[in-house]
Amino acid sequence: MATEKIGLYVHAPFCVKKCSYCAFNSVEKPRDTSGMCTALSTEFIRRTQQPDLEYQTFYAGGGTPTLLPPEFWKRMIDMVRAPWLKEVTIETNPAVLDAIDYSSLHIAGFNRISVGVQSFCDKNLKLLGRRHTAEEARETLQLISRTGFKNISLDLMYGLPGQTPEHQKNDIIEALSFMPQHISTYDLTLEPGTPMGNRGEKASEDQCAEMYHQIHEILTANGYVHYEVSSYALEDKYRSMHNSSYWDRTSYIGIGPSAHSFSGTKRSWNIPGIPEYESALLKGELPEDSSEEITDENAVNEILSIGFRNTNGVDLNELDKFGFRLDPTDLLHTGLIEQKGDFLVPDEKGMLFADLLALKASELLEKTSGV
Amino acid sequence: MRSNIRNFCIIAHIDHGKSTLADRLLQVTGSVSEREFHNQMLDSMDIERERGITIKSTAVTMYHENTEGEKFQLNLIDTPGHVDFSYEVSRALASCEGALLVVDAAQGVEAQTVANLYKAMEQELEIIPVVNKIDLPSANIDETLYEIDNELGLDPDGAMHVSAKTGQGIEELLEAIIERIPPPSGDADAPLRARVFDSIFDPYRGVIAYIRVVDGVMRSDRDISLMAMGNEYRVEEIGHLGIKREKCELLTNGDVGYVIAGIKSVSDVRSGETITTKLNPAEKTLGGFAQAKPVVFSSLFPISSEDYNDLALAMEKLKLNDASLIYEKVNSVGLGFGFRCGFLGLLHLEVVQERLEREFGMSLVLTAPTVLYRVSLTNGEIKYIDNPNLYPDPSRIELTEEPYIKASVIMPDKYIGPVTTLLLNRRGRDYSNTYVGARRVEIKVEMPLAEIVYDFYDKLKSLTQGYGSFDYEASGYHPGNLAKVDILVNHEKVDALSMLVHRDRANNWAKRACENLKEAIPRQQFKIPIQGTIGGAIIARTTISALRKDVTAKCYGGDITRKRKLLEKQKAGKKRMKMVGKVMIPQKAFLAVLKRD
Ligand SMILES: Nc1nc2c(ncn2[C@@H]2O[C@H](COP(=O)(O)OP(=O)(O)O)[C@@H](O)[C@H]2O)c(=O)[nH]1
Ligand code: SF4
Ligand SMILES: [Mg+2]
Repeated sequence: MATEKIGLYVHAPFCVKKCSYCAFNSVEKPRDTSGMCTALSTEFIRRTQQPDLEYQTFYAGGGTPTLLPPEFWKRMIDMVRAPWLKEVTIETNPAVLDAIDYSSLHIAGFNRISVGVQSFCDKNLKLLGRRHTAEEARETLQLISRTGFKNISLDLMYGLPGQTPEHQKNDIIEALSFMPQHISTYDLTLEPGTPMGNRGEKASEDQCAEMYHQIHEILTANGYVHYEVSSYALEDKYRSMHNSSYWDRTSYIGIGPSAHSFSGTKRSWNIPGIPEYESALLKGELPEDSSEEITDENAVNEILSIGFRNTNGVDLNELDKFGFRLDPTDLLHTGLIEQKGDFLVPDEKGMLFADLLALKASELLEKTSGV
Repeated sequence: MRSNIRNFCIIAHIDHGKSTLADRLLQVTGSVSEREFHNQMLDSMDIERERGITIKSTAVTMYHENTEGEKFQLNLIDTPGHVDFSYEVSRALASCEGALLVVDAAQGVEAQTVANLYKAMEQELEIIPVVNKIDLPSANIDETLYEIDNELGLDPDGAMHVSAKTGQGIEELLEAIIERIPPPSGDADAPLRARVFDSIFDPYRGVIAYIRVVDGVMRSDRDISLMAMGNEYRVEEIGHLGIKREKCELLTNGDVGYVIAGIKSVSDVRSGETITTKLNPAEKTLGGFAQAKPVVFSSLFPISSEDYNDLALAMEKLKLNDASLIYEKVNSVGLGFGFRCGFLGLLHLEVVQERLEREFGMSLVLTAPTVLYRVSLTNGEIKYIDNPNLYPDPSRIELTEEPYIKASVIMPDKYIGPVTTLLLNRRGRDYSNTYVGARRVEIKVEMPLAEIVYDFYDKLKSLTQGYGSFDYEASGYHPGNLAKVDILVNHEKVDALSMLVHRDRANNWAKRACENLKEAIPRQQFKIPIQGTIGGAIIARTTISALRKDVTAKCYGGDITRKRKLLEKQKAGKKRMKMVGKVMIPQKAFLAVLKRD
């Protein structure tokens, strides 16, 4: 029987405390998480026990997945029992330094860990509503590298209100000092409904662009590959496999409240509400909220909205497979992309205009005859 | 005299409960079945329901028995309340003998109540004050009665107390309508005279005119003539206006109903028209016929030029149902073909725009609204200019005049300071003020119409917290020192952004227009200079700096749908922008030039 390569995502919707900018689906951790653990395993068992799936990646995200017990994660990973699993990632947050048993997590099977540092400046951390200090972030990073993780990713945010490129430089230099295999740098997004979103404060567009270019310069000079608008890998092999699978139309199954799944032709997502999610599973139902069939036009628009964000670029052949042709002349005139064979590849500046390129490209699409 | 008919309308400030009261009257009189009932029964257009405004007049006939078991026919005529449609309002009021004046017991007397009350008084209608929303805990009935007495000069003892929401007091109100509103007068034996108070276009039946029969009898299958326009038609169908049209054989003096007579367009049978019979015509019209004249002009362009033909069709269809809309074809350098249109006012303009967009799926660019200027040329010729781009070269102009209005603002006296400042800043002159109630002041002022064309109502409303009522009448042409300001975007003149402005204001105006455009035009990959010029001389400039980035930071896990939807939304948004030269100009920018501070 043919096997299908697939990714697995598990959403742990709990955090120590909500950060001021965060619109992810997470709530303050209840004392007892066993209900959620049971619900997650139940959904997991019901949805993943097909013998023809070849799990390549496992990603424990959130929320703060390290707030769920290592035994839980061990059971989950064991259940996949997949010899193919290459990348097994968990996200963590320095705020719960003492309580987290990183070596157990490593033994449980995680081989990659992503640490939400965000900044090495206490003032910024406070502004962001993070529940840890810069010092605690440093300790967490040291602790994690001592416990055997050989693939560490470090998250930073920039474009914070009041932050200047000079300031931001300190963060990036300090991040480098830990020599993480991967660095993600996110431009602050003001999410409506969050405290920071409501305040509406952020560094100016010019400053954010400057910070973006500065990060690129410093990290590439230090050997990192800038392979996606927010992502840098120390070597190609350290690119996030799991995230890349979102971009290259690999199928994935998302477990947990509001988690998204993709089957190749259909996208579906779970109920966001935590009690509703748990009770659906208790009743023996699948917690799916809704789904949509992906038409060919949907597919090409997805390819375009994702493609210019990373250095793989947009594959003209792939558009063709969905019945669309794209004449790249006008796009090439922007000076933001290059054509490499059948691929339209954004350069460093191009990725910063990914949405604009997608919009332009989408307007230039033509249906090819016979489809 | 037909003693069992009562014709009345409802006057109310917006949100005081006019629509809800009409709904209750329909229910209590059993004019609508439970199954058929929905809220805001009388507002049929989407725009009416959503905005809570009435645009077209309509009528509905209800039947009700009084306590003695005598049966009455009650005709409720629903009228617009906005000053743009004041001509229509006066025609509808003229068709009634009484009016319910609804006042929200929690809000008290407010602006529109006053303006429309005066109109009703002019028609000598019997006014029944109705204190509504008495079910609200915040209702202050005593204070409301005090205001009805002191600010409106009506007898508070005659006020009815109701809750249009719960139905409390509705029976008593119906009794009062029957008892207090006089039955229609008029002569059943005289030749037919019926007043048209509005008409709609029905794609299957043609025009359906709403009428009030004043004298005589109207029968189907007879020839009628329209006394003002002079056209003749054969009546196909007449009837009463229930929740649906109810066909009947004759309408007699006092009746309110409809007539269908193969009329092609509502422009052929305007509000205020008098209908009589061809065989035995009346000698005199009912009077009061006037053509509502457009006062505000703007050009409409389709966002993408290929849609011009669709727009032309849409305008034609809309015109069938809107006699006040006038238009002609224009061509703009930047925007291609479109229509120069005349409107009754800004609300009318907005309604037309919204209907074109919603009912006909058009995406439009509107140019800044202007008034009609009168220009005397050195060669003795006189020209009326409603389009800045047709403004003659200054060397050929002897005199330019602009239309003025006599404006009246009524408000509680504590707002007199800021309102006076506003009026004087808008070039008001011949200023006077008088007390019209205990704490209410009326300001009268003469000012250029152009000064109220944009954001005047909004300003007045916010300065007076909604308590300022505004009304005006035309007061002829007076000299004005005007200059034509052109706007250059990326060094190209955008003719649709040109404006005629008072010369003393030109510099400030141009500066503000440039600033507003800077806000309204999204940054693009290159720098965009924006300049304001008079006769080629630059008097203001700003620059939109180049876009530095355009990417959403984070891709939310596997939620690719969200990303795609964002792209689709942007794509739809871009459809609402107009490409002028190399620059994408969003629809809203064309009005942004007018925004004051
Ligand atoms: N509590 C209460 N609310 C009312 C009453 N009459 C109207 N309303 C509410 O007031 C609002 C405005 O009423 P509407 O009839 O649309 O006002 P209009 O703008 O004058 O037509 C609506 O939300 C109604 O539900 C009433 O007697 N009591
Ligand atoms: S730790 Fe992460 S998921 Fe939790 S609130 Fe903060 S940003 Fe959101
Ligand atoms: Mg209403």
